[in-house]
Amino acid sequence: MTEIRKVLLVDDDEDIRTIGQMALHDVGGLDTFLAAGGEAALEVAAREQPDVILLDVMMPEMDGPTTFRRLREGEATAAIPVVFVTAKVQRHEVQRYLGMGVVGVICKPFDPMTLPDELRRIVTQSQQDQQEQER
Amino acid sequence: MIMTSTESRERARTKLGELRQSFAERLQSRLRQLDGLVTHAKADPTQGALTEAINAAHRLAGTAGSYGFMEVGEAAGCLERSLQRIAGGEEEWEAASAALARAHRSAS
Repeated sequence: MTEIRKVLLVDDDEDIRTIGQMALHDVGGLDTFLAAGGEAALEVAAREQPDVILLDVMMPEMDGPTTFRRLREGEATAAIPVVFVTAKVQRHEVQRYLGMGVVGVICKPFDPMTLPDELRRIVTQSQQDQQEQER
Repeated sequence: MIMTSTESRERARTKLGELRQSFAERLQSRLRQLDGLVTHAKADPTQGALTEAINAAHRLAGTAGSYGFMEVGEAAGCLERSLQRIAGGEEEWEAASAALARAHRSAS
């Protein structure tokens, strides 16, 4: 299992970036990189090679699903696991997102004190699922 | 100096309290901005104006709750859904206004 050490948080809302950084860095002890939109996310992801990307779904200019597709198209970013972050969603929407290939969906609002644990749980589960499939 | 996990969490809680206080001070301004977008959309209910108001309500729904203002976030979520129904052709302005008023009450 690969332990998460570096995370990229992508959200157009500055207040979410602020509290997300506090949660991931101060609570979770993770090296945390921030991007305010899809284009910036592509650059930071390629440069910093985070272990996981937390990606907001609803963003102006380039939304989460488009950013995710562009990440998958990039050689340097194709293999980085992505978790969508979105305001309350219906179950069928979560299934649709998972069908795109993201490893999980975290709903906003989130609890800053438990966000890192939730992220680790999602990524660990995804790694276990992948190992099962490879057997 | 190496901090224990407990010390680290306590420090994070303190920082979280400071961030919540800071957000509370900005919340009134965000609500006023939302007021403006909703008023504009009601006066000129084009898809563009409605989308702008929906996006602002959506952002506040996710953000306020993450800072501990759950009721504000829920009211903003109700407002978002009402605005989406209005964008779909339904008459929901009364519900939208009620949700916005609830967000203001919860924030004060």
